[in-house]
Amino acid sequence: MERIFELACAFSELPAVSGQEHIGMERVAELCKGYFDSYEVTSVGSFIGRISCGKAGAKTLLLDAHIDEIGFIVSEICEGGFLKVVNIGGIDPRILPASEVLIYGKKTITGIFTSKPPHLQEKDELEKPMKLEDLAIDTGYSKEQLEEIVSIGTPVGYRSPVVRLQNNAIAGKSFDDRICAVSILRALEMLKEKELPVNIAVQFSGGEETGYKGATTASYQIAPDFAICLDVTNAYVPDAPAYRKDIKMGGGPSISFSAQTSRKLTIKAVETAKKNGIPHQLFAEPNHTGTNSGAIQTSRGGVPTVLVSIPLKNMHTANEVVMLSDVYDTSRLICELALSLKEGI
Amino acid sequence: MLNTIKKFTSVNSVSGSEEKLRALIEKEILPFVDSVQTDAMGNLIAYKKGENSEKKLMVAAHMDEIGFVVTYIEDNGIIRVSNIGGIRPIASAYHPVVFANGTIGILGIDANTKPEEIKINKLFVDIGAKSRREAEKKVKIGDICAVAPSFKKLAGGRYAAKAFDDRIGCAVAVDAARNAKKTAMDTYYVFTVQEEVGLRGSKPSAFSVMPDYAVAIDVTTADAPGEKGVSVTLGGGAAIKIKDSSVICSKVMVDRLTALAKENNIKHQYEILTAGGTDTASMQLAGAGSVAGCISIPTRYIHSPVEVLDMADVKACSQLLTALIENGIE
Repeated sequence: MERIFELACAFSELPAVSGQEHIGMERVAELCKGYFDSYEVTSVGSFIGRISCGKAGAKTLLLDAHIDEIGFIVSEICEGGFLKVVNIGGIDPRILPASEVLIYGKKTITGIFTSKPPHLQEKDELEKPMKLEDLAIDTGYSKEQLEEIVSIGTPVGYRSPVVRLQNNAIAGKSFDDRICAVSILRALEMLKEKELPVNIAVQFSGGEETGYKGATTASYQIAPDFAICLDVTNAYVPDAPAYRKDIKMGGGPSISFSAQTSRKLTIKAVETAKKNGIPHQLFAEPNHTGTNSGAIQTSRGGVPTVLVSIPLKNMHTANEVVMLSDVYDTSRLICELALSLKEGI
Repeated sequence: MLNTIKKFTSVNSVSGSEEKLRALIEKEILPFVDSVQTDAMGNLIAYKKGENSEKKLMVAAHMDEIGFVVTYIEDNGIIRVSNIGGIRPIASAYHPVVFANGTIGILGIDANTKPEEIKINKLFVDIGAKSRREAEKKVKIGDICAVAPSFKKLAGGRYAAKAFDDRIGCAVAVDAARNAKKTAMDTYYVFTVQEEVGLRGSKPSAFSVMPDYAVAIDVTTADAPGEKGVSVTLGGGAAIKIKDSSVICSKVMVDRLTALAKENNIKHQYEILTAGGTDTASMQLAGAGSVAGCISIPTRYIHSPVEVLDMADVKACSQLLTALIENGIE
């Protein structure tokens, strides 16, 4: 668990706003040192790492987690050192006022989203939906100084160091979907001394939050025989819709039944979890899963794909909450499922 | 250049019916490339061998424009239509439209329709026929029409035309092929079909080219009066795309285009478009992916019969594309 926490802190901090993942790629490579036989970075912002099992004609298992995060890009540099931004991916503007961000310009600087104190608000203003256009980021610089550091298109992400809550829960930014990258690396550690029945290719894909772009292209490049797609899923909170009731924090990885996944591989994942006593939960998504699973499944001639998700609260905010035990159980499931592929699917 | 633009804006080319324009472009670009072919979907692919054949550059401009398809002919000879692509009914209404066989009609709106209720189902085409039978002699269900071609010179080096989106992109690509003194890498000038209905032509063509580098040439919204939150200005130079709703451009391409613009003193600006997509997206995602970007021509009143642009911007875009073709990425 401590190892998972350590990796979670490192991955959470990566600067990789969707479409601008290259900024974080050097650090990704550093964090992945020792895990792979070879690696490459693609033109669409994905990191691909490969481990060979050494067997002739072996099949390839793809493990996917997206490395990009939601965020913003600068659209205008204004008088007084303010920045106007547009969103990259799904952001609820109501959570932004007075929050901290990092601006990844020529150097990384801190900014604060503007907010209007209650004293200055007009009557009824609180009830009105907030729009991103109404906000700006205050940097403390002058416009001239800022122009030296930032240009139109510069990415901006949340600033939110990881904190530890009770009962193995942790909170931080971009656990969607870095926590799954962590679970993959932890699984690779578990597999280290084992005899691999298949080659393993890992894609830490870019561009998921803006249309599954990294997975579309990296999966084409890898051409795997089967895939485990890893993402986060909304755990039940009191005001969530009733159909989410069964996804619980601490209940282990959620295995998805959907038209965007392979039923055969999904059932194998469930059986593997049962056989090894790994806590898990089941979730039915009739059509779109909102993850890379569809892009991987339809790559080239089609790839049998299973979607495994880590329960998470407060998705797309600067304080996403996950439980270390769920991450650990996900790693175990990845490890055992990989080993079980000896018999095919 | 101006002649090319006039030629390209002189014909209709609705998504799925791009034959006339394709023939014009083919004739125009043929002298400057090694080979030209048309694929199954109708994309025109012109190939020019580069000094270095290890890498491929794909340049894409779309040939198609928005238009209308006949859905139903009423007993009184009035023709009902549906849209092909993002028609703004209020912008198209009360203009003449032309069918492929030359039949001219007037696009009208049902009388007494409130402005906020003007949708495509309130539009009709009146070709002058007094009955359904008479109308059917000229037009049948499934026929395609578009607003009649127009090309007008305004003051200050600015021009208005129908479907500068994206004839101007086609003209810029041809102009760059004409002006390029050398070709750094193997270059494919692709004139795509069906962009307006979901970037459909660029998908298979990008898969057949499999570019390492890709650049689309398309229009972008410039500062029309009342337009809010748009940083691109008409006359502000070639717009280097940062993002639109279909794509986030590769930093490698944005930086390269910026550097080339600076080296060659080409006036340029940056574009962030919060709505609308371009062929850039399909090229970026073809196969294992490419380093993709877009040079945009600032344009006002896009998807109206009178799109307005500034010839100085068009020249800047052509110079920037030429510089990219000549010098490549490294």
